[in-house]
Amino acid sequence: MRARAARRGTKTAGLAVALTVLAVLGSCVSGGRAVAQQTPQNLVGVSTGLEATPVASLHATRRGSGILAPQAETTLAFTSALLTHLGGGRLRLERDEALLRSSRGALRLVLGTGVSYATDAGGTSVGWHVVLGTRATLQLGRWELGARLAYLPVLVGHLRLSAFQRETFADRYPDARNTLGPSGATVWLPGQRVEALLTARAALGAWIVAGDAGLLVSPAAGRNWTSLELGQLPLVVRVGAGRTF
Amino acid sequence: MAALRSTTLAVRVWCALACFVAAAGCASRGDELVPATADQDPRLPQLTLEVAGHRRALHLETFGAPTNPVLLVFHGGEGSDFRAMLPLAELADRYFVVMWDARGSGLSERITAAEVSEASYAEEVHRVKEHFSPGVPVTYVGYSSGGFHGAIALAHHPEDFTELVLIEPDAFDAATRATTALDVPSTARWVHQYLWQNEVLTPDDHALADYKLMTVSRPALEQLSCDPSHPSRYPMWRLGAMVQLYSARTFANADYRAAAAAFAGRVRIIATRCGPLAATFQRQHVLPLFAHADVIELGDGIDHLTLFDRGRVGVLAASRDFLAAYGKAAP
Repeated sequence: MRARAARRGTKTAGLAVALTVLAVLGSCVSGGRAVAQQTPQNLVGVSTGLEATPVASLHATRRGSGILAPQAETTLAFTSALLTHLGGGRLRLERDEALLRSSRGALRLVLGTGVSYATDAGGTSVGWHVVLGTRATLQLGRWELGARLAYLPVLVGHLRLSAFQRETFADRYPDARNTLGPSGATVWLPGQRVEALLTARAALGAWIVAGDAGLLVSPAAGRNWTSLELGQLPLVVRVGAGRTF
Repeated sequence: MAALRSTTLAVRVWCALACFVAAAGCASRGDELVPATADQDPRLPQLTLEVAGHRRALHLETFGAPTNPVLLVFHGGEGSDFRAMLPLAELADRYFVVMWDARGSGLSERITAAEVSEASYAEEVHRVKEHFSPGVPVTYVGYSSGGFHGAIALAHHPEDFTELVLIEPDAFDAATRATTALDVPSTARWVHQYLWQNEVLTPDDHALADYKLMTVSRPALEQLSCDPSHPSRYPMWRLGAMVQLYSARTFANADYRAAAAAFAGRVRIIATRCGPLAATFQRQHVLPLFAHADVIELGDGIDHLTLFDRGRVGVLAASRDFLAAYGKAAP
């Protein structure tokens, strides 16, 4: 049993490694003190940037021993879409466990879940999403460079349709012109996105500065994944800072 | 061992998620968010025609006696529908009025990208005309981009039409059309709400894409309001997202001005006094194309979105004052 489990574990670990391009970089660069070594416990921070639209986030990270692995981070983050005038936001809890580690890098498993809400002319919508991904990191002196690849499906969403949206159902039937649409709807798997980011963090004493850049695309949008008409602007750029405790 | 446990758990989570995604992906998603199309809803008045090699259910309504001369009504807005133009059913006192949503638009059956072409649009109008008026030319009423589609039809079947009523038509060439395109203001709240909407909804299938586009259409179209403090509303059933995308690409370099110039029949252009397609635009870009055309300018307080609402009386009067069935044919 143990041998079979070990073989299966080795195989899946190999698959996980194949998911990210930078997973093999951790062993070939000499480094100084790692970010993680300098930030032994907790972090509270803020960040701002662009997730298609300008956002600002508050996040708190707790470092410690993982349930599944010796080293883990648990992050709770609230993100607000600024130019929606508080009409859009997200609360996400993420667990980041080190699967494979060396002195200069690590391959991590990222699991998370969260709730997002949005408001627009169609009404208000709430979606429950999960995060499944990997993150590879490389220590370079005080810098930690990395890459993150994650799949973010929205498992279920509920929409409360606005009067405008309900009214689009009227006038269809010549014998019943006033038929209105539903006041709301629950949709299974209403969204799917893939996030591919390059990340950087640096330790400056008790402070951490960080930046991410990459893509957040809807692969199921087919060739229209950059179509602004369909609301697709798949860019992510974030900068942030935090204080360790 | 910890790494093994974690990877085993990861595999299980991935498998569970893959099963869920597969199950949810097989189910139709977002169909409750937009009205059903003619192929999905037999209660809708419809006509099935073969166009571009595909049989498609058109959402189509007729008004008046079939013995009257036929008047075809083509809606505005790529991907949109004839809902706003329903008041033109009043012309059924002298005409057999036929209104339909173009293939892939409104409540008509959705189509593939390969079915969006100049030839297929021309074929569609011709087949609708032939279905109701075989071998006999008809009157064509086109609103906004429906004027552009009228020019496409003229390019292929000029013999199909005796007279045209163009209600604030868009330009007949892509370069001029580009000047009338709606803005996407980079700081507008509705733009950012639309971008953030991906947190919950992504355009994974037709219904979800259509829903997304509908939600942004209202604030986007409100830019055409002449009084921003009282934004006008434009009633629609559905915006076919794929048709809007693909038609923009298909007609990116189109120019049908020559087809308009070759039309020998009479043309009446009806326009408002404000907005990018107002009477000034029509006199500059559309009127000079036709040999026998005039422009009727409606009164104040009407904009492109309210032509069939606040402007209903004026549009109907300007149409009746021109159409042959009302005894207004040219000598």
